[in-house]
Amino acid sequence: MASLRSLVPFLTAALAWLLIAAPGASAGVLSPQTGAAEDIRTIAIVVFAVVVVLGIALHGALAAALLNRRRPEQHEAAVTSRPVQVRAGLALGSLAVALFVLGVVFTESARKAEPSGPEGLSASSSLTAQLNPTSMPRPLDVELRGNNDVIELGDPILIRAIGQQWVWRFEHPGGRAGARNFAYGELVIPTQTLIELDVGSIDVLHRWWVPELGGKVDAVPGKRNRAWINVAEEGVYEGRSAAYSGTGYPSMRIVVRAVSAEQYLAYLEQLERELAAGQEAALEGQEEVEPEPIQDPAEDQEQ
Amino acid sequence: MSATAAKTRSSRTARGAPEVMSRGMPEPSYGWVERMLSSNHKSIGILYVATALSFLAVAVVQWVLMRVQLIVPDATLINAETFNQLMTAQAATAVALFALPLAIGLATYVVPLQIGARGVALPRLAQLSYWLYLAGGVTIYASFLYNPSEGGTVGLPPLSETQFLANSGVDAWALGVALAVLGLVCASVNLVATVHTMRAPGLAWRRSPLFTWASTASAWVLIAVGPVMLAALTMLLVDRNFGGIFFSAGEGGSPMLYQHLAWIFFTGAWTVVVLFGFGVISEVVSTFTSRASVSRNVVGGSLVAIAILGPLAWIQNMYTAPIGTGWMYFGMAVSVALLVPVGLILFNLAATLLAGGLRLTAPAIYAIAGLSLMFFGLAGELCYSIVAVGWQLSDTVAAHADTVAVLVGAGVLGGFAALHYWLPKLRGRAAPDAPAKLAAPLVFLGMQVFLWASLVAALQGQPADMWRFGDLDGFATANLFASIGVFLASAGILTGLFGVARGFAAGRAVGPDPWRGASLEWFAPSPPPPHNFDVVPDVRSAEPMQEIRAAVAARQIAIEPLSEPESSVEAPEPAAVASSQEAGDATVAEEPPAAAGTDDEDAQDAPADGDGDTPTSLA
Repeated sequence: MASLRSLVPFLTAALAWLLIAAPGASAGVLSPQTGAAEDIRTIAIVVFAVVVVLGIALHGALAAALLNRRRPEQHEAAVTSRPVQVRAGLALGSLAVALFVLGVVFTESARKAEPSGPEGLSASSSLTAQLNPTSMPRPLDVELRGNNDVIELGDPILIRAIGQQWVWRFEHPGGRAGARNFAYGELVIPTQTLIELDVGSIDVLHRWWVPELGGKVDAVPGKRNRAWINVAEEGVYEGRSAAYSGTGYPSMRIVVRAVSAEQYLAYLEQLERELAAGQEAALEGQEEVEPEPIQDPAEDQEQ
Repeated sequence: MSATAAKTRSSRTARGAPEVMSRGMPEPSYGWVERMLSSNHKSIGILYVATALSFLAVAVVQWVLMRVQLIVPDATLINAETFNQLMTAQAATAVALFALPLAIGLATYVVPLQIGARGVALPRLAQLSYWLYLAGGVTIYASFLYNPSEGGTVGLPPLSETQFLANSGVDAWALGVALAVLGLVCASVNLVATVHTMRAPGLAWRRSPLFTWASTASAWVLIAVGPVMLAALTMLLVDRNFGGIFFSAGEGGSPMLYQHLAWIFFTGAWTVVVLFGFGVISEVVSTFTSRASVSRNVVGGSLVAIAILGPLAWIQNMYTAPIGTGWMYFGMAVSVALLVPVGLILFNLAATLLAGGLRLTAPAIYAIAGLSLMFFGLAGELCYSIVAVGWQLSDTVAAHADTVAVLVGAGVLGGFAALHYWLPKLRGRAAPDAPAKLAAPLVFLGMQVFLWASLVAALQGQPADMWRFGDLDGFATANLFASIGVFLASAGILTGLFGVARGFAAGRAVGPDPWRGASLEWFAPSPPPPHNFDVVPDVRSAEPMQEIRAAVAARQIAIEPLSEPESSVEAPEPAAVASSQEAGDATVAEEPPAAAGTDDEDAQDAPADGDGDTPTSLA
């Protein structure tokens, strides 16, 4: 029984795992809303399963060693079996190669741009005509994160996410260069639309992270970083900045609201109106205009 | 015979018996000042160990304070500035002021003994290295008197530049880390020079102990990556104080440069800690299973492979940065390739343990717990080294928890195992086993709770380095468990520290070879005299102490018990000399044999005793 007692820490740890890990099942990383996030979740589960198997093997050996402690009579010579070592090395090498290949496959899949769906913004010509392609901001220097295929102008929607201490600023298509339509804190995007998210920073290092929509994207001042987003369903997805940037860092949150294409266009119009009204009010010294709530186009038709 | 013969027998060299100087020598009593100013590698090693353990206590206290702040959402116990200062200081303390100095300091003490050297190659450089390290630690902590750094765990610009953190805290942090790293580089140079030039005759690399392999590899890694960090910190100090633009994005510099350089260093430091952990655990497991590692060449080669591949895997911390995917796949390839050497070492250790015969003494308990904890940390790092997974889970609390698991498993538990294992050599005392039986399970259990809770929190979206989280964030439960885990682990670490201190001051006295170890450090007296060895034996195998014990035992067997006292003067001598010559001139005639596992120093008089007493048979 004394030897079994030495297993108590392992058993307690296993119990702790079950108790603590259960709430993680509904966590953000495990609830993907884009294809990229799904690919990431798949490979994460695969790799996790591999290391769990390795861990069980190692801890089985440790447990057996703790239970079987009969002392040999004298010092026994080291048992060196070259074939066993070679086989172990080859097995580990094959596992390493397999993990590498799987990693490449899933990473390439995760960073690929998914074309917009039938209800997305770029597919319907009547909807895209409302967005003047020449007014969309183009990046100056795009770093290599993302697909290098040629995407036709007008196909993805380019949205800039600019981090600053300690808030995110989003620049939407529309307006003029130097006077884009912008919003702070909440990003409204159309569903089933390929969005090119262009992440930058104006002061220190930030890191865009919305777990349900995909991986992190570093916002480095002086560099551009790009990720593709194509959300399938409407909803609200929360995230935050994941790079330590000073005392306000925990409050640098992100709220992504995915709405239908029509609602997104209505939002853009409203944004432009509010910004223009706000500028006029500032010029004339008046109070701020109260913002209008977003109308569902369906409701408008009924009226 | 006469009393004169008794007094001079030890210096009689007529038959080739060596002159023994240190048997029965009174323990040297140095004053504090002499001890601290001594350039003897043993004094320097003890200074390193004592200072590193003090910084461990400081790091544990800081960790507990941070977790107290994170135990409930919207806590206001510690404000943002204080938390960020603690976080910055704790990272520097845990890596540059505890883990690396403990590894290098223990190596400075033990490795020259393991290779049969009488000193080190560059003793003054080793002495300088300690004082540089201490100066670095003092610089960092002196900044708490005015303005500690809030630059974050790695001190990334642009946040650490003057326009965002204007007070001199970051300068103190950078200077302190630079001094400590410079000290470590100097100590590594000394280690490499010693091991490459001062090994005992016959001690080829294939016969060297695994801790020597690990320490030499660690020293080479530090020589490679230390100057890289010194360059990065120098550039940061120039940027901050002399109008430099190394990391200023708008003026031709780039913050990415610092990221690369700093991550090269921290990945190298992590590699050193892993090497130290594996080296110590291999030694302890070999000794306490009464069986050598299943394949010493494979484990030694794997240690070298880890040393080469480890620092090359620095990109795995930068998957989210605007670098090309080619770089990312290179980082992933090297990180995943590390699976092979690490797996081989784990396989060999598991096979050695499975062969049976594990003696659960304090070093072995810490070694097993450390091995398991290292596995958890390394497994997590393997998961995040896949680029896509790293995109989601790098820079989260889970990634940090895995790094901490490796640091605690290898640095803390491995360090405790090493200290308990070599305390008999350092002080001639063995620490009690009881604190280990409490501390190791506590640390293991606490770290398990912390690891899994951190994983859940990361999956729910908690990034690292946050001083506070909100009620609606959803990871309150996970953080509560994480804090509880940290409290348990910290209690265990402090218990272990207490055990080590107690053993150092008041452990039970033991002789030179209490564990029946296989390597040469157990040949020297405990504690060793300034010149380590009276006689440096020729080494004929990978386990020189086994050879020595076998030779002594063979010589004992050759002694004929005599009935007449007078004739015993001559009879034992030829047999003793003959058997010692058969044993290949091992020149161990006078050393206390450890075959019987006793510390009886009188037993050694038996073979060469010319006084007419019957040879004492060894019990």
